[in-house]
Amino acid sequence: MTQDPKGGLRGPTVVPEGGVVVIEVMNGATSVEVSQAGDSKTTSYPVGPDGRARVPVIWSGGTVLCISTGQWPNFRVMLVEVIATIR
Amino acid sequence: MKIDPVWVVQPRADRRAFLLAGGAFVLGGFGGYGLRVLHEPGAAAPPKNEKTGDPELDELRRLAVEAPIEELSAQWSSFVTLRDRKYQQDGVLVEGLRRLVNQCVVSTSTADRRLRAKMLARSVRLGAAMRDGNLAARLPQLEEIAR
Repeated sequence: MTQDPKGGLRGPTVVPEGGVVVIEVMNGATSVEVSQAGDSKTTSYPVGPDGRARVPVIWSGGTVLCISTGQWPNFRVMLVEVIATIR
Repeated sequence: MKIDPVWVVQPRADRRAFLLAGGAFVLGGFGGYGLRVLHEPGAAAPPKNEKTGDPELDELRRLAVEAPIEELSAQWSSFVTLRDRKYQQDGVLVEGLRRLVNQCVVSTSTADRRLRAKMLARSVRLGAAMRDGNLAARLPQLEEIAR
């Protein structure tokens, strides 16, 4: 598990493709924005009543996901690497 | 049998000629270097950091060109994520990318070096950074570190 040094997001640093990333949101945000490194497109996922956002991993192995909340200066981001699964 | 010395250059005029030729060589060297630097892609002075009216972009620009590398490095993931998402075409932010890439390539003790290299390699292929020849030349090194 990893934590943003300033607090805000907590979750795994790696996740298998096809899995689900569960992010613990500790800064009161109601949604998380997800993009892949080197891409401007973002997708929003809601934070549930348990304070967690669940992001299905639809990206292939090798992708780096940028999961964030808030706007500058309260912008927080954590990076999650997608690893390929052996089939 | 008498052997006469053979002068390649005449002794007296030669000193001046030698100095002139030497001076011309040095000036030519500096001039050529200057022209090369001026025309080298990406070697131009970084764009001026002017206020944009967007506080987020202004702060990212400050990190890119004014903040010490330690400060930029401490916020590298936010910097690169926001640049990729919203400010790909901003030329000032490319300077920050260049500083992060240099640090990642040169310093083996950089925190999260492999992940950084992976993310930076993707960011370099995006927007204004793609037009920077020096950054593009760093891609093979970043990819090697990212493996």
